[in-house]
Amino acid sequence: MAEEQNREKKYIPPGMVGTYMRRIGESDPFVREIQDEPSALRLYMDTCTKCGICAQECPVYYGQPDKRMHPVERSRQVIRLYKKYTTFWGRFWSTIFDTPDFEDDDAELFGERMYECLTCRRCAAFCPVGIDHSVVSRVGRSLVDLMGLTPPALAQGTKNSFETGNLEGASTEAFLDAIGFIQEELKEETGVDIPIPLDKEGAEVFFLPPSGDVLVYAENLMGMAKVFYAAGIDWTMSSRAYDGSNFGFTTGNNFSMKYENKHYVNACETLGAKVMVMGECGHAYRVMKFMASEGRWWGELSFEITSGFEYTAELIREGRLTLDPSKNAEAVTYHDSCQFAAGCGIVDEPREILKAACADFREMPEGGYTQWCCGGGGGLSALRSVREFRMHISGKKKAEQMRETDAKIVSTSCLQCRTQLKEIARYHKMPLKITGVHELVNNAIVI
Amino acid sequence: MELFTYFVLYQLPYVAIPFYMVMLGVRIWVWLRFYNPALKLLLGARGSVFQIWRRQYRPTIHLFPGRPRTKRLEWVRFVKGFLFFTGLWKRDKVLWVGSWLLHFGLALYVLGHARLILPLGLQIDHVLMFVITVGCWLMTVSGVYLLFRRVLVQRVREITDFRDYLSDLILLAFSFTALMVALDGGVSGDEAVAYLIGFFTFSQVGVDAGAWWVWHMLALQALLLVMPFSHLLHFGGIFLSRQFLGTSDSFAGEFGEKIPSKSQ
Repeated sequence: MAEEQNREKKYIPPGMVGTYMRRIGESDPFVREIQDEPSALRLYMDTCTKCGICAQECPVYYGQPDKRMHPVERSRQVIRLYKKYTTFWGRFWSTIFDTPDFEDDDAELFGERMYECLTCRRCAAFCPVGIDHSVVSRVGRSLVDLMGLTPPALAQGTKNSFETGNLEGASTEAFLDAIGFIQEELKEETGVDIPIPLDKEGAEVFFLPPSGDVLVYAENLMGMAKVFYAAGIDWTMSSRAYDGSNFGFTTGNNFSMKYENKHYVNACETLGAKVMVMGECGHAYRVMKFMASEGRWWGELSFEITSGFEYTAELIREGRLTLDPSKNAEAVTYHDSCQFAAGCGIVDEPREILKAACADFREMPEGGYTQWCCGGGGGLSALRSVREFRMHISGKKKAEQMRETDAKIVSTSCLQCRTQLKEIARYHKMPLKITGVHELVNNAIVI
Repeated sequence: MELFTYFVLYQLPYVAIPFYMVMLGVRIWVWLRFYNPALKLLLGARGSVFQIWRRQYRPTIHLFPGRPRTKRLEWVRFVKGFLFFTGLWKRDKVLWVGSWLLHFGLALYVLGHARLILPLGLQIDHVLMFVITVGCWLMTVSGVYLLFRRVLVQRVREITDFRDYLSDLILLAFSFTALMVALDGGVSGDEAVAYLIGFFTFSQVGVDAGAWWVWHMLALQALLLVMPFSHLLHFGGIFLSRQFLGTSDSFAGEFGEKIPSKSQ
């Protein structure tokens, strides 16, 4: 009974879906720059030939080939709402026939379905018409977010970002403690004082890792600190903005996406850095480089934006780093994260780094621009509630590929992928170690 | 003149053609307006339409945006994809066979119609008639093939609805009636010109081109009426979606440099 009442609360008041849908499509001054999504949706709904190629290439449909997991069917859920409330014929027919907003009249189910898309863009890479279903799913997620039905873990992360500036909700003291600890580790490991400068005004480089690389996977930050030290770069981090991630992009919340981005743009400008180097988070880098910067959300920026991969690869090319591949003697393979590969076109740089830092680098089957998603994309790896889905359905293909590779270490470029791959390896009992790219640089770099 | 023939040749076209033009115009306007919001401000904007178009910020959903690529490479990929559907060939050969042959047949059908309006001589007329016949055969056979694929392949069948079957059947009717007209000897250039003059001058000129031609005209007009609301509209949107993605890679089925399966 209590469950029924609870479920009832999640239904949307009559008429509200239309209000929300129009709000997404309206030219709200704050989100005007990102209005391309409903517009793309409009083009997509007119041109899809329903040829089924997207399903053939979709990791989720591969894991469970039925109608519910079909990208076109998922997009149809959003498009019917879009048509109903924003097109003439949609409004006309809905006044004659009183159709429910959601199939089965269940908003919660709609929310679940929007989070069954990994937003990996593999469909866009192979669709003969060029349809990107991740864009449609994101519009659906915007709607889910406006209805307050975003999965709690993601909603909490977004809330934490607002309140503390990082997804984990860690305090500045905790951050400073972690930095102190990492510096001690660096000293202990190398015998050299490798500083992690904080709030250093006028430094050339502002480094922005995802907070997970400070608080959980510190080896990545250690690797990056060694890279800066070895190449003699004047760099800094910020004690106010130390989380280069973006859950607003994932949840479809445009306000949050822009707020999180503004946070570290302000920090970089305040510190007067010339280059913003971003860590191993594909979502944040894509939003910063290809949306905020190119879309001029904050006008002309006074600094360049690059990723840690491009930065380190360039230093290796220039001969400013010495790496000893024998320190990573085991066979290593690389999993391309969707956002870095399909979203940012960063494919070669991580490979250049790994080939320089590892003695035995091997390609993952079908790696590169059109890689298969790990199954935790689009924020799913943060959701314990869909673990079975991630292990058996969305992650099925990646599990098969991981089994197929004869490498001992799987390196990846994104925190979300890392979490998912770790779980896959553990769940399917594969003796594999999952690392970040700069974690292997951390092992191999000669100081 | 029979009522049916009169309706198909002299009544319906005055509805179907303007309807098609207006609806297609609306669709293209909507796509472009969303793609380039400045178009909404044209009346109050300074500079030429082209300049306004150029300086507008484009959508941010580009695929593989960081990749260096030359304009030449982009064009080569676009032309390859456009002419040979190479992207489709690499992913789904079963679909490619039907899809490419259908479009190739349609191109032959359109090309052959030059015989109706240009004085090309008897010999070339025969060649073009043959071209049309081949085109119609290709369209009809591949149309049936694609319809079967739609019914037989699960991932296609489960997302196909009534409107998709309707537009496919109308396209098939168009191809089949075109084939029948072609096998029947076709329509002569004189008859076609007389009909067109009659159409544009609102005078009814009797054309004795056989029953299949009337059915073909009906199918053509049904196609025009249905097209703006069906997946057949991809013929226009496919080019704009390339702009959205900012690459012709998927068109050509080539995604940057080939990564060897096991490299050191």
